[in-house]
Amino acid sequence: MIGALRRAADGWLWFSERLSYVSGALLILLSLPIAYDALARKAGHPTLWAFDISLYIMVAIIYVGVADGIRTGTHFRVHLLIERAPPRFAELLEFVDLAFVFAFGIVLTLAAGGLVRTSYSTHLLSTTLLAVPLFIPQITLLIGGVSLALEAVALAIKRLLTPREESHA
Amino acid sequence: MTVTVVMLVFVVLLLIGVRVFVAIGLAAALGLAMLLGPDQAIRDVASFLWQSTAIYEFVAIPLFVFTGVLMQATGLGADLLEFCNTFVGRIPNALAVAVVLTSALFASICGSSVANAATLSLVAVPLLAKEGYPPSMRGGVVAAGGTLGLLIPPSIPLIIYGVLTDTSIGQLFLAGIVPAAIMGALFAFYLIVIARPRMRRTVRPAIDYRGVTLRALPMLFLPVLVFGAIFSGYMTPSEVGALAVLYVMALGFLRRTLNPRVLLQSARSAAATASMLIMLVATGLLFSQFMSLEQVPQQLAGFITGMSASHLIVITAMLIAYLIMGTFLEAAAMLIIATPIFFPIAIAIGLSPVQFGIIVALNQEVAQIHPPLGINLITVSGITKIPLQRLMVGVLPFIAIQLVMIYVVYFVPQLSLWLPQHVLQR
Repeated sequence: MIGALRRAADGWLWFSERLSYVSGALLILLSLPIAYDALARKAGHPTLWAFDISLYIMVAIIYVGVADGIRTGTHFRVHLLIERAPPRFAELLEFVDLAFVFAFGIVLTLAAGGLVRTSYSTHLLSTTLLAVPLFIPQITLLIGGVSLALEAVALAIKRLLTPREESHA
Repeated sequence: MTVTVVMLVFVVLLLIGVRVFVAIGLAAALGLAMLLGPDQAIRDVASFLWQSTAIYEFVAIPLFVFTGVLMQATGLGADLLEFCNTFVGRIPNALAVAVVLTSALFASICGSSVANAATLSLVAVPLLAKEGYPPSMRGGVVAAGGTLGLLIPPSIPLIIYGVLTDTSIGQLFLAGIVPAAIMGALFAFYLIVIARPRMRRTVRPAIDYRGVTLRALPMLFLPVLVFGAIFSGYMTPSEVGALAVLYVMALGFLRRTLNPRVLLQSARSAAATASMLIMLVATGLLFSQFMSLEQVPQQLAGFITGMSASHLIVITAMLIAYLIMGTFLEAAAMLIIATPIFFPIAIAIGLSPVQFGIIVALNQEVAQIHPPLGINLITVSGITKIPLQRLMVGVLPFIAIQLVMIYVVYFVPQLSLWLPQHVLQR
């Protein structure tokens, strides 16, 4: 059971690292449509698609990459109490933090799920020239919510199952 | 009552070390649930978060962060430093002044204060050590120089402030230039005239002006591109950001300092930073939506203007609030939490949104190097291994200059307003 939990947590963390590379790859991609549109506009042939595509790539970068920041510590926290707390209490605070990340992930998943469902069922389109079905880019919010929740669970499992000396090393 | 509960939850979550965007998001969701019921709150969270992230102006943020990370990864910042160091001559503390100049040039390309400080930590601190600068001064100059990026276009905090307050980002960019130039000059003045020790170059190295300039020229072209394209209205900040990324990438590949692996690693790191920043803004907007529903900023603004306290006292109170927040909150988080509350107050006491934007950016500068959490301090200390305590001593004179500049910008509005008005009239 413990072995399965550990493997599941490792599996998710491996996958979430891959997601962060997808987010990075999207960032490399992001500059292309924008630069192309700037040049095309100057040449008198503005594109109809660059605005939507670049906006939705940016949204995808944010939500696809959001979980990676939990593991790598990119997201800001106030360390005032954690740094001064005795080790056992500090460890407890780490779990409390992960519990709230999980809670936020669930709120985001529920909210994004409802949003995607509504956009899909009402055939909601973007108000731009490209008229993109909005549920497609909104799926990235759902990915963000689910990945935050799973990242928190995986990190909590790793913390629980890793002996303290090993985690400190 | 609802506001009290939400604020209490928010502060407790912050203090126990919950990540700031999670603390803001959950407190806002709780507030909306108390006001509107859980079902409506979930619907509102979804639509507000979607609307707060799908903002086209934000596209510039990942692009300029990426430009900064790429410059750091490819070592292009070193050419800029060599160029500035060559041309400052033999004034006292010449290398330290060159670091400030390089920071300003770097800032006008990438907009990320942390990338600026990290790059110069790698390339400038060893040189400063070689010339005999004490550790506190080495680290202090690099950490403080990095903050110039918050005022110089394409400043990321100014983009965020513009979106939060619906103020023209172009006007904010223009407004930051004069105060940034003055502050850069004050930093240089401090280093040349006041700072001790006064390091003098005893032997002037053989200087190849032509070679140094030719090596730095491709990088020197970038600030011209950024300023020219944005201020002529030829391109939007996002377009300039995209071209800057492609330009630095091309330069890195041409000089063989960039390969696909480094590119992907840099992109991943920049994406994580951009994700963190925009998640903060998105949850911050959600929080300010809740506060607006409860009319908190309006009531606060009414209360403060009704107190008939002098405007100077109000500005000073805000400054103190920023300083206190800066001791436990990171600068970007502080911007997002404080702006929706302070902005209506600033407008109520007669400040223009643009002028207040520059005051906020200056406060951000202080927070970036404000002990104990200033992110530039932590970055510089992490890279250079200079103890934080020594760095704190090194940045104190620069913090004093920044605090003075806040009042200068407040008392002389034309410093920030003249350029936008002048350029817009043309």
